[in-house]
Amino acid sequence: MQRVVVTGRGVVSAIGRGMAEFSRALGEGRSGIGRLSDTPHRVGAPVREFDPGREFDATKLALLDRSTQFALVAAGDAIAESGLDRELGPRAAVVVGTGAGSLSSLEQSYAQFHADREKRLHPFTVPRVMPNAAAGQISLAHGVTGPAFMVATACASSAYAVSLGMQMIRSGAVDVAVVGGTEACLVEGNLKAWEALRVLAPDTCRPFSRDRRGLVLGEGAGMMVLESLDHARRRDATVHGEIVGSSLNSDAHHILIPSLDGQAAAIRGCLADAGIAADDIGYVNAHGTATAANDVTETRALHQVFGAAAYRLAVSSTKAMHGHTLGAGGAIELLATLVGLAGRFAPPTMNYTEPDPECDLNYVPNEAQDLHCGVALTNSFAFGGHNAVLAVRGAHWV
Amino acid sequence: MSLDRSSIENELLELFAQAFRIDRASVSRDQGLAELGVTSLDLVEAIFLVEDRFGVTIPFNANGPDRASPDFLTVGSLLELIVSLVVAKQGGQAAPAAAAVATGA
Repeated sequence: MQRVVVTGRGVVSAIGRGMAEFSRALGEGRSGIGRLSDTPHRVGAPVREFDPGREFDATKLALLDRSTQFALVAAGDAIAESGLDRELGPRAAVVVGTGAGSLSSLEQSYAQFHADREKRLHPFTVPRVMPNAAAGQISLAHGVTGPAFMVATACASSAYAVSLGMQMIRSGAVDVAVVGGTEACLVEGNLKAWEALRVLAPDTCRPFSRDRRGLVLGEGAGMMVLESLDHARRRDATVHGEIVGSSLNSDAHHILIPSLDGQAAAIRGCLADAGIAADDIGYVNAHGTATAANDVTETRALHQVFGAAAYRLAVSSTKAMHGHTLGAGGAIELLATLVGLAGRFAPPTMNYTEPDPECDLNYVPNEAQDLHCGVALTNSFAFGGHNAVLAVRGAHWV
Repeated sequence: MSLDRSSIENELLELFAQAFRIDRASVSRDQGLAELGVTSLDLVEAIFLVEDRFGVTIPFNANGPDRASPDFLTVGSLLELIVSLVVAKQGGQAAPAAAAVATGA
């Protein structure tokens, strides 16, 4: 079975475009959460200073929803970093997670349609709004002729995408996989729908704090190039980390409410798949949405799996900085985990005010902490009951 | 069309019975919502039905201090909160400013 390493990384987020800016923000504890310019009574973690006109030429732009733009930019950066500068060919795959796909283009098109049924729609409406656009555009941009597809498991989508890419490489189906996720759904209709669920915080995102008031939506993309270790070594590629294991499972409990058993099983399953013991884990990038339900359930799941060792973990939710990026979250958070492992620090949980007696672990409150460990976990627990846990080894230890 | 308190309360009790899946006859004011097995999702749905029917905005965040607020503790307290919002609206007054901020809406 092939070992799977990360040879390229790309990110677009509320705390930075590109790994350098993203890493700096994580180390400094800089949050990208603020009032949304279109609807200032709402908070979010938008991608600021992203100029589509500078990234893409005008003819191409008409085909690209904002979420597709993010995916292309992040994938482009990842592939550039990997040094794979020719057509990736048939032994490469593209697997992209998303929660809402091309939602902003869909909302605009329907708004126009309902306002005036006679008016013509743009001819590229279909390729722009189709949910598979990001995977198709990435394969097109980089000459990937192996399988290219989207994965939809809500907030676990991009973690699922990383796992599937890893599995395809392990099995020998492909040598290279461009994987990750994208999300750009900070549009009015969608925000109204989320508000109706009453899980959005009016102020900010405070994972694990006693006074947490729910999640803050973000946008962005995280993409990686995964390769078999053999393939990477043969071409002398720089390795940024290793995906040592993963676990994908389902709660079969409730369409919205998380299950302790499901989460614990996913964490255990990941350790087993990676062949590592709970004691070997030093850091967990939590799902940590700052909802009442998630933070308590996740804490209990960690207690169940780690036992006494849970108190030695550094557990942080970087959602307090980059927001809840839904389908892109798994990948963005995996990138944050790799940043921490490489820089030997646990990224902080920002906006932490007071401890919740039901959440009693070391959540790295407000300031990064020194971290000396080789292996970390990252959790994603989604609506629909979809769970994904990934285990990553830092570059120094590969 | 302006409704008097008891008509509003009757309609609300019907909506609660529907949203909380309980027998209308067995709903009493001093019953705790938790005791009736009402989850926070049931409450979110009930609030939606009420807001949709009466055009009011009910401040409720499923995560924060609202969960433990006295307003959402018993059938009676919830009735009181909503009736006062509906009556205020019918009186031509805007919903209280605090309500709009608390929902983050």
